[in-house]
Amino acid sequence: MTPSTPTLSVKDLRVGSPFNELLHGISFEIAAGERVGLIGESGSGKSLTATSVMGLLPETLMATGTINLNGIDADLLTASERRLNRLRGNTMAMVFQEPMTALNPLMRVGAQVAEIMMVHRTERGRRQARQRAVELLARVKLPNPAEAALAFPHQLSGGQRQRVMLAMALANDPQLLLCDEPTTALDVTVQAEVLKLIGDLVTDRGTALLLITHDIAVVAEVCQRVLVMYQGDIVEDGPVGRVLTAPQHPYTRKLIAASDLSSVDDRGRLHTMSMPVIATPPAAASSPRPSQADAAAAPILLPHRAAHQRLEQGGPPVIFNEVAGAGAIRVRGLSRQYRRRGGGLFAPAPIVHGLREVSFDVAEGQRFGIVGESGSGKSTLMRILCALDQPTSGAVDVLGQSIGGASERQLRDFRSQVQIVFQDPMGSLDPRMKVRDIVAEPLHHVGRAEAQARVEAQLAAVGLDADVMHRHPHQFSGGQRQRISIARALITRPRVLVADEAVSALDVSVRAQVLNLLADLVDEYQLTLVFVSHDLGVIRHLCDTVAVISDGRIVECGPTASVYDRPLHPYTRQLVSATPSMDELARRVIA
Amino acid sequence: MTASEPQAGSATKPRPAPRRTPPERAGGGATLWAGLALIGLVVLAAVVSAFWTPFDPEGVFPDSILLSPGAEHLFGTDSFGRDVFSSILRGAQISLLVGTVAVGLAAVLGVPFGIVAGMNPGRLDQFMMRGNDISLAFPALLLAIIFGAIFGAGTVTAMVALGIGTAPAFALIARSGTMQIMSREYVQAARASGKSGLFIGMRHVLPNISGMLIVQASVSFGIAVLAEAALSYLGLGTPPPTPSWGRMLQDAQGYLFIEPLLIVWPGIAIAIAVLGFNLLGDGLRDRFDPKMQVKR
Repeated sequence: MTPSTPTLSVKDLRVGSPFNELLHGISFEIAAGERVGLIGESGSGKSLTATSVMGLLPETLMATGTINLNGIDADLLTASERRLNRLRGNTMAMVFQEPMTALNPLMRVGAQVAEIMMVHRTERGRRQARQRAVELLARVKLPNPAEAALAFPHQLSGGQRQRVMLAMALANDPQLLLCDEPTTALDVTVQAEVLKLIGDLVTDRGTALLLITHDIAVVAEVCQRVLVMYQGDIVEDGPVGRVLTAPQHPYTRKLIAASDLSSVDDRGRLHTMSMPVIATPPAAASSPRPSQADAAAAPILLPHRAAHQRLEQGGPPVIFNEVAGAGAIRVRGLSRQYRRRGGGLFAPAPIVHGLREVSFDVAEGQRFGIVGESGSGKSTLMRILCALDQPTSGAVDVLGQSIGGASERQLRDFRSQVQIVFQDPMGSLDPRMKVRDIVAEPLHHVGRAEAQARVEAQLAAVGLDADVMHRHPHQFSGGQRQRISIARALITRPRVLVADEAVSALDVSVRAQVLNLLADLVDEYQLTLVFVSHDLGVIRHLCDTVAVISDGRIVECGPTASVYDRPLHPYTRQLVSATPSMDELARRVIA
Repeated sequence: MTASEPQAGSATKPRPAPRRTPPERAGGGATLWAGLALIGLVVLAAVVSAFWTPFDPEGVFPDSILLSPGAEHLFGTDSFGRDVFSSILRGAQISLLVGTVAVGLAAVLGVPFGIVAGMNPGRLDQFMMRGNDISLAFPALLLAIIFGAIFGAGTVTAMVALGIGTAPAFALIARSGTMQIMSREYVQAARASGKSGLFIGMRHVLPNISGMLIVQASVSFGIAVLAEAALSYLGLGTPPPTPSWGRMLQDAQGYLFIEPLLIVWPGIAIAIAVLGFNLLGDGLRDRFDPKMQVKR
């Protein structure tokens, strides 16, 4: 093979159902050893591109065009299933988003890695294959590879499982590695490690990489070249550094602007992408929101400014963000333990510490962010603040209502004062109810006509037309569903709004819109906001104070800018460096 | 879940693509329609026989004993000289009546029981479900025989016994569905806005588990029809002279070698009814279940 032949060449690929075309004739090439990122929002056709290359398109879709892999005489689109089976996992390999579902839960991971080599007969005997599997697991930097090979998938962490997937994908030294959102399901600190590993492995072996993601930061971390997809077309193709700093296509420009949570326009709002789907919320037309710095200085809105503190290793418990007088939320020595099901069949259920000795205050009108990775206890904390869960020990007061041991009757007023917005815009709306009933649900003892009027007004406030009332949730996009969730939470005019990863499941462009909306509404209704997220960028934009939670403890808390610029705790430092801002990214790519 | 677009659904989301593509609509369709057709046949027989049958199925006609099938008597006559075709038509009434009442009673008893258990995890759930397990271990048919012995055999006894005997299965399904729904965020949101358990059960849980319950009802209906036939065969079901497929089988047994066709007709009728409800259940399962599955 000549060095000039590209490893993968896709020409005029069109994919569509009988009703509409989803990919409109895309063409691109990947040279040997080149690392290419494919970026786009959900529905742009990026995953469809990858499944076409692997020959895994669903039977209901038709594809035309040609896909050629270097050294393979056949067109992958028309090749027989048998031929493709020999190529898949051998000449080209794929890593999926969710490693738990991509691994066989009943097979030891070493055996699964070995199987790949047995199937393609790249290793003769079972013994050799197993031995090679251990070597591969060492290559993907799993600690104790020999022991890890004997583990079952559920005994490994998400990051470790994704490393196993990588070992499987690279077992037969493929020419081409496809990764579909390989780190989306992972925590930020783990994500950085796995990305670095992918980058190193493909560079070492000269494997061509096609990395599919919605996250510009991921592309900047690993890739040399980036393809931007928009509605089934590739709209931009260029070196990462150039696309990041000087995007040509208007869509790319907007995508990058919307991804950048540190840059705001002159009204302190995030740059959004013009999506003519929804009416402009009237809140946007009101007076411009003061920028973060002004808000922190404004004496009426925020009389309280948090002290920047950290938890010392083995030191005494700290009361973070202590508010003199009555704050909105007051938490002292909060612990929550669970009995986890499982362990052995007859072993006693192990106790899990969800939260340990957490103490903090939130002042009225404060925007309090809680950052943590999965399993850190942030969701438990949020559930307790909303009285959906009870503390094991410690005192929790929200708006003067003690939550520990309170009966539902005592909580009646509290329920209308504290509302919640969830992460998953699909799961948080009852699919069998109409929008009108969903939004009106928190209202108690309100007449039909009044409820109708209030729902209408609330929908308008979140930027939805009144005619959506008679529709069911599945007829809306993710961003619109999240607006409906927000409308439901605000219809009782609560004083405290708790948001659990409220924008994490949304596309970048929609995320910016929803964040702007939330910020506007928090101002307009003078809410105390508690925003729980794993995404530091989002918290930095929205919140004035941030608490970093790790392993059931708050390890650091302080004014957002101060925590981000001068992190005190090593864990915070790790988090901050794992999520660079756009400027930082551009600097890294160019350097 | 309503996000039940096919695999490529994520790619079609932003466009107003048609929600149902033809291949999807075809899923389970044939089974569903076959089941509905068979059940339609049984229902038609029951309705028609309420107003008209070719001959009176409830009498004794010494002139026409054990005639072979012919132009006048389509399926022949039995040992009392009754027209078998008429008896089959009229027998559909009892089968449907017993099935409807038994399944209705089972649902009314079992579904609220299961929902309450599923909504109150912990001691109450454990207590209720262990009780449910005990009644589940008790065959409905055996219960009907015991009831028959205590309260006297009859259609009502059979219906009540079958209903009580089938209820634990409904409770089990309602509970597992409820537990799935209770973990959804919309239920959390409802709780966070202070909605009562009754409201959550009625507005959120019941509509979202209705799919599985309908499937269960259809399958149970088939079982109830079969059980009614068995009870009547044992003489514990519908008393004479009201025609019942099960008792027709018993009557025909004595003439097995004289007129073997007599045993075939009610057998076919029972098979059609049971098969119809089972096919309907399978078809409905294909239609409903993908949406009931928990999202990955």
